[in-house]
Amino acid sequence: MKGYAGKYLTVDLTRGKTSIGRVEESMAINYIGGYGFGARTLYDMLPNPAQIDPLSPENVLIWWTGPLAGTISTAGNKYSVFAKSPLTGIFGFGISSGLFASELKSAGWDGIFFTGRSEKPSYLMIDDDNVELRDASHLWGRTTWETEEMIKEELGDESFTVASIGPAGEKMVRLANITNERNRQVGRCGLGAVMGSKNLKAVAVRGTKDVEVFDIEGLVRFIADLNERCQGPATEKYRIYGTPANILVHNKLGCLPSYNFQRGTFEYAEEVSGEMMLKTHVKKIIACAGCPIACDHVNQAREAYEGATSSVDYESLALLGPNCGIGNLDIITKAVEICDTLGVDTISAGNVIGWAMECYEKGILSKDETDGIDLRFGNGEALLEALKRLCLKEGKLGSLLAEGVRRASQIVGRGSEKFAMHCKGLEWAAYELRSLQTSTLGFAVSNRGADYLRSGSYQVDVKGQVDRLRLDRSRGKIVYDGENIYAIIDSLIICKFTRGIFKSVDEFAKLYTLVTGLSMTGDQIIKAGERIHNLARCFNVKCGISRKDDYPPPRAFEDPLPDDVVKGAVIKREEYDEALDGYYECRGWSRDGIPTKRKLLELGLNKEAEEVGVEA
Amino acid sequence: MGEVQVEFIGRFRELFKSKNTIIEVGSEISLLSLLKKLSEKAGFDVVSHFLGSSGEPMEEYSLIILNGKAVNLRRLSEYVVKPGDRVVLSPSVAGGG
Repeated sequence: MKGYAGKYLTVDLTRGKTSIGRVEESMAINYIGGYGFGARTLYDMLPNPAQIDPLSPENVLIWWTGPLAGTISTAGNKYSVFAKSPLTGIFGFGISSGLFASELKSAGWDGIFFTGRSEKPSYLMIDDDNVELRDASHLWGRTTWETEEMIKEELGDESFTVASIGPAGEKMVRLANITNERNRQVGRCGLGAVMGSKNLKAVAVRGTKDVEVFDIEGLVRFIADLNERCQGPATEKYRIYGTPANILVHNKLGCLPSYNFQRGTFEYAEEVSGEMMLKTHVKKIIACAGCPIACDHVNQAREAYEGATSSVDYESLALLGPNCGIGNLDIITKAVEICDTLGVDTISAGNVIGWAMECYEKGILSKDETDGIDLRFGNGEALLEALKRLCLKEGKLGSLLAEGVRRASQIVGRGSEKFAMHCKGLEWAAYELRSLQTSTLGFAVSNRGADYLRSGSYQVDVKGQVDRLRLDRSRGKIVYDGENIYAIIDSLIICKFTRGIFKSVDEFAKLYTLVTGLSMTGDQIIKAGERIHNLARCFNVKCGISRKDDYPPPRAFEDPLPDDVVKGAVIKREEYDEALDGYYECRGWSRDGIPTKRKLLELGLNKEAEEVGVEA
Repeated sequence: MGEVQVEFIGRFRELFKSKNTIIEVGSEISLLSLLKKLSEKAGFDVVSHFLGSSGEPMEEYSLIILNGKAVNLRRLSEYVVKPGDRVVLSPSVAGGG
């Protein structure tokens, strides 16, 4: 089979040994790559995940590319990382872009597995077939940007691509991410903390081999067509303003979270809008390898924060801005830079600090508990100081925030759990819960926790195709369909910004076959998406997940929105229950959210049917 | 006659060179007719930002909000606009990378 390198590297960090494994054709057809490979291998490598401490040497850290990485495929140069998450305690998963995936594939590897724990700080160097674990003692404590530069200098070649953790990962902050090429992150689920727990500072890779494809002429024709479509209207929003374009439209729809999701609009939305950002702060717009869209808007701060540089997308902007009451792009640019260099996820960081600000304003957290910081909404200096302490686990406040919002609220108690905005322990992203209710169902049932990237179910809400302020049974089918398609996108792995240019799932299958030579139809690839989603759910069921975990936080049901355009919007529990029943019905799961034996057997997941499946 | 306030976001601000405008309407008018009135005022085809050449909805491209509610572009001609209403023209929501 083409497209795949056909092999993966296993690195036993405890013993300092490496070995090679083969990617079989059956694995490729059934699980595609990326998310699918991650679900398959995490399930197999952690047979009893409930018993595993995510920050112990017993956890594994799995990296996979997809079949398209390293080829000319449109926006297909992505890699994915998997482990049991130290933030959520369940299926941990993140995807990043840039050049890393194509370098790894060009070096002849589809993926890398890390097991055990290195005795001292180390980094992995991959130079085609030459693989070496190197000492990283001199890099420990360095930021992600410094680490990248120092490794390139040490290896004497700028063309090495580096993915690393910052001090937050080293200190096992549960929100820690993995950064490559300065501004690209495996952001969510705290996988940087798993890397830190293994004393693994970075992976540096250089590849010089060609990635072979099955039908180069057919692929060139198809990609030329896709690239042409990428210049059309469906992707214009990404090219001009990037995702920050969402600020104003979300504000008008009452679905822009502000003040820790207490409101759905923000009075300073214009000041932090994509339109304003483009005019005053964007210094350059860049693209990932093989991407004709170029969505990445890099900001430069001014005035007191002059010199601060960061890539600011909608989620970072909304969570570190409006959600913390901040209406100043200079402060937000600086805040994102702190997260990127010290190595934490901007979404989770903005969410947990918003929660702490609400605690502080309600008198739940005292000034003593915030280490003297006046942690009011809108206090930019307080935001930046809290962020630094979070990343470095400094003081009472930093140690608390570093746990993530679920654990932090359980530690603080005093009613703060009610406005801890998460699901399954993953902090809610920047889509308001009560004014986008199909979206909320999609977030809450996601395998990763409160996840905006697993079903795209917000689309029917913002396109006016449903009443977004209500729920009914039919929403379950919308989420189900979206999840299966997104599972394919995340397994191939393609940038979701291109999803609008594919005419149907048949085109995903066509692309797969042109690259790999393996026969695939639209129906088969959709079935693979369903298989992958069920497999990840099976892992979660083994971790104790069931219906009780597929609910949004109490605020969604108890605090009506005060904003004019969506005044009084709240989720009715009986409607949510009905929608959830509709979702489980489509999935072929029990009313308690457990996959049935029949469904698992239908998907060829025989082992899982035996281990996890329930009778219908 | 009365006024409908139309606000612009994203590329519509560039196209109209303004953040908003006012359209005078009678007692009521369809949303599609309002877009045609806007076209006359602006001197370019506003409808083509929402419907393709065969009348297909361009949901990945543009979005209309009528009094805080997202408009289903597949039923554009069914929406009624009255004096005092507020309409927002915007690029569609961008997310999920």
